[in-house]
Amino acid sequence: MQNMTDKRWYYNAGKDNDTAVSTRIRLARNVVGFPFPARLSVTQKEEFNQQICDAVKGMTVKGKRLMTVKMDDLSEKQCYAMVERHLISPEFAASRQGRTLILSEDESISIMLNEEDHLRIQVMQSGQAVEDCLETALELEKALSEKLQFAYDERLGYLTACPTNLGTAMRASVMLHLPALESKGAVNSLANTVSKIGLTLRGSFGEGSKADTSLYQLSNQITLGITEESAAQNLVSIADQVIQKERDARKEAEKIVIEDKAYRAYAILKNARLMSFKELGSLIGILRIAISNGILTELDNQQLTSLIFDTKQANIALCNKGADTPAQRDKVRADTVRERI
Amino acid sequence: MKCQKCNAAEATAYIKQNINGKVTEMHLCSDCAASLGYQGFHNVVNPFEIFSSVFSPERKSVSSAKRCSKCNISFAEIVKTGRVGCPDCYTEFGQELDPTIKKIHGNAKHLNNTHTTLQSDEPTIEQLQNELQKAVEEQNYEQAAVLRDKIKERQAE
Ligand SMILES: [Zn+2]
Ligand SMILES: [Zn+2]
Repeated sequence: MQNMTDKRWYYNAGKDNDTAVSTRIRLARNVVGFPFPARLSVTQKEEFNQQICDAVKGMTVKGKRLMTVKMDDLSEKQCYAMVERHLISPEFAASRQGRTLILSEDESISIMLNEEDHLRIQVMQSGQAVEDCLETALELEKALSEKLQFAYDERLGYLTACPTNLGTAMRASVMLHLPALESKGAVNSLANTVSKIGLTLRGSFGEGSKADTSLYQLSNQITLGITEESAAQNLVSIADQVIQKERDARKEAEKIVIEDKAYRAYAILKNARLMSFKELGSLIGILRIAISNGILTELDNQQLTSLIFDTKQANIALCNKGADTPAQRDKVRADTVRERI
Repeated sequence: MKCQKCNAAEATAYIKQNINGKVTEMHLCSDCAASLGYQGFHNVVNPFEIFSSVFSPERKSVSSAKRCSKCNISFAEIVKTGRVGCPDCYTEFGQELDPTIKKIHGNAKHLNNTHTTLQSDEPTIEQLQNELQKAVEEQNYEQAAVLRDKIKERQAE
């Protein structure tokens, strides 16, 4: 399993990776002269994809070569595994005809063709890396804009299928692991506060306010009337503050209590034979708190992060034969965790 | 009902998506729903819901049968799906969309930081030749001479 995946971006250590799991920048772009994908026939989509693939041919971004994958050629399992790795959207996986994915080998750079917009450029990196991701995304966007004319309006900015994305058409987000703030019950009020300054903080899975795994996404909401750089800076400054709050909260409990929880969590991770993703998420949260307090420091935060990306159900099912039921996957997940921790 | 993705667990989540008027329905178990990260790409989970509040009732009185001359979408379809049909819809339905855009973004105007136009604003040789012909027809010989020089210059490039 490791061999297949160890080139992926999330194996590289990131800044603030005790709390910041990953950063993602997405830019939506549409090409002048074509209706949006919903109004293109499959044949038109394929012609359009060919044009974009020709434009991308031989292109390297930050020294990374871009490859092309027709979504039709992938199995359902492969697609859902990509969704779990945040490489593509659930919508993109749900209907694959006429859709193409352009991606770098490490999956850090990708472009979805014919999602809701013609192009959805995405850059991901470990830890808090908003500025780096933005730089890479804009570099790719610029290279593409030399070959394609993007739909743009002086007043409305980049024209997108959904009016909510007008302007920069950029969404930037940092995935944060907030076990200590969550157990203090401090996440909801934090979410309220950030919403007043044009950001959202929400559970990384589903729409519920509470994330089972203590994973949250902090994202920008404003796209019109703000530059990409300012939006990114706002996000960085709030992410820094949330990260600091989480670090403070991790040190609030009594050392003996933290130690007790940490070694119990560690014992479970080292010995369990069946483990749900939800359980893994909360145990990883405890280990992160432990590491922040100088306990179990031989563990590596990046390794914990890679478990999050590698052990969701479709990824397990994809890499392991006979892992098709939740119980079978729970077994594989427990085995993987014991092997790696 | 069993979950449509894993076919094992009982489906507890009903997910209805309306993407550009194409409605897809899924019954999923909570694990599968979570693993699919039910969270929109650009944070819009159920565009229809959001847009039904965004497109205010008074909008319905607008000529909803009006269509975009480029992509042929009607304004009624835009309201229904929450998505416009092509980049030109923003000019074709400028008036109709304006209140919606204001509701989402306020009075903000785009701050250009990155965009450079691919094509220069300079007229093409063909356009210059058309202008030249017009100038000759109008016996505007001064203008014609200027245009002729411009065309020569461009052809030499
Ligand atoms: Zn399921
Ligand atoms: Zn249109």
